[in-house]
Amino acid sequence: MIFKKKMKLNPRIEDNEPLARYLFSEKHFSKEKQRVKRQAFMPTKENKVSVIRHKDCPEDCALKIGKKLEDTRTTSLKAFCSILTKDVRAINNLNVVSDTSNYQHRRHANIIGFSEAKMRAIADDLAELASENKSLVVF
Amino acid sequence: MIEQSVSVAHRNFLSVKPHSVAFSINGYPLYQYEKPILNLAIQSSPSEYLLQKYKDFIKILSSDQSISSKIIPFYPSEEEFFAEKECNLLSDRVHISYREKEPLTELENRIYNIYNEYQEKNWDGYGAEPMQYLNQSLQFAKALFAESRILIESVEVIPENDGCLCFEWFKSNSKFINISVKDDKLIYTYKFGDDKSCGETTFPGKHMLIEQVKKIV
Repeated sequence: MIFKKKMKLNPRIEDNEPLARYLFSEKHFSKEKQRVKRQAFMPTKENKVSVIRHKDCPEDCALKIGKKLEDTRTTSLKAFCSILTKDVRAINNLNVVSDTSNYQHRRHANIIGFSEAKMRAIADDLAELASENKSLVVF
Repeated sequence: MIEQSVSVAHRNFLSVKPHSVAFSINGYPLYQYEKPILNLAIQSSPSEYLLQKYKDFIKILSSDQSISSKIIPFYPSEEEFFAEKECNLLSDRVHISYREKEPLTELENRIYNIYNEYQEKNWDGYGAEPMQYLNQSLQFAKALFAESRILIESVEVIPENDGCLCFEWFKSNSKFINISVKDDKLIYTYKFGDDKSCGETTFPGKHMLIEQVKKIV
């Protein structure tokens, strides 16, 4: 029996790391236009956007993570998209920090630093990034 | 437009205590219908008492701010007036004409559908709030429709995690406008080439935004 050792992730997220945003509402993307809408990246009341670090993560791994996230929710997974950490950090004081507290997945991170006044405009920029990456995967 | 009439006769009005009647049509209160028309046709010779009650009723209607149109009808001729809510009427016999509401504009339907569909907390899997501000969103939709039908034909309505409905016109990543309705505020972002802006305004300021929408459309 071979046990695959889980790769240890550096708590510090490197600029070149891809981040996946998992989408549970079909209203937040367009499959036909291969477009992610800004609503997919609007922060919560705690002012953060939950993402998963996809470093060294093949597509089936990405799907497995999505299914795990789905198990903790009442809505089903619809799609995911990805953006690069450095592109996120280039937007308006945003940062990406690892967050594995409260039984979060070990790859879990948050995009933080949203300004309340520009929250929606920042979400527009993040959605544009995700759309331009042509990274939308719809289930 | 379907016009129908219902004749309602209620209890003996000759008793000393006035009777009040809440009018509904097939169980739906009058305000569900598009400007129902109450034809007050007093069919029998009214007593002085009835006549006075009729006058009182008209007075009540006239002072009710929620009634959009105030027409003061009076016996003996039939008159029409509009009522938007259930009303108490003291009369002998009443004819009610009503129109089935014109089909809601397709945009209003979409708003209703999204509002109803996204009432569950955490509908986006990340703690989203249930949809709110339905009336304000409909009001905004009506304002768009009043401006131009073209504006509502290309708009998309998208639920947002803070309970707002967002009206989006999107041509490309460099040409779009989003307007979110939050209570009495309109929160907008738009991009038109190099011209990019975000902010919020109140409903009276909607015309500025509608002008931006026209540029996109």
